[in-house]
Amino acid sequence: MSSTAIGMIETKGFVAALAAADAMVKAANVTITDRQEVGDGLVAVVIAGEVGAVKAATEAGAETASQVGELVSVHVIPRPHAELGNHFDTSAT
Amino acid sequence: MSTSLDLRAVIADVVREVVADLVGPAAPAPSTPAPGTPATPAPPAGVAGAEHVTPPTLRERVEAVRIGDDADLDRFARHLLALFENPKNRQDLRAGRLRFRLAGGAAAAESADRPAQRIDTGAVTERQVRAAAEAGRRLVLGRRAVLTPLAREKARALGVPIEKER
Repeated sequence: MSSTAIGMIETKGFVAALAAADAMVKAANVTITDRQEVGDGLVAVVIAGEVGAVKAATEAGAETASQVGELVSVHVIPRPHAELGNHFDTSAT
Repeated sequence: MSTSLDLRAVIADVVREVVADLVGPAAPAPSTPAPGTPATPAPPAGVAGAEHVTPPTLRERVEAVRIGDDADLDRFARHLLALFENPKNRQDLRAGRLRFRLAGGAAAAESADRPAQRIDTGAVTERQVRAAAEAGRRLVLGRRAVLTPLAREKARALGVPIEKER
């Protein structure tokens, strides 16, 4: 897993986040590594996997989230720095 | 015999003068291209008077012309008139040896001409970008529209302009 990327989808509302997470793990070979609820209904799901898989997964997840609820943001970090793992629960080192 | 030689010499002189008059005044015209016409290669001003020794590289010329607004169009028309005063350039233009192409700002002008497709909310996916590219549209994203990473890559690859409102 040397070329591990992380992808993040943030939605407003739990249901959209859950639907997005489901769509992501079904769309490509990725794993869900974290779920963050920061309040005000914002839920973020973090996935990890190969760069191409993560991009495809976030694409599917974003589409599902916007259909089910409200999509806030989507982002992919192709090669996260190891330092990130010390402060965030990315599990992508 | 001598009279015919003299006559020949006189005719040669007259022809030389006439040719010099035809070519001479027109020659400096293209060396001062219309102001603001960028990326115009220097026309062969010095070659015009030099007894038809046109280098083969100058046989076909393509001048880059930037036309972004009415002023540019006006400048280009004046430049064209100046070119037309030179008989050699006139022949080149008629024969298609001197051609013009749009330079630089063509892409920007094209993106402004494209009809806008507005997306206000939700995910903007790769599929939508591809559809916009096929329809020849540009994308205008509202504040709450989210562009996915794959869609951004696709837009760059297909040259679809995306504007995001803030």
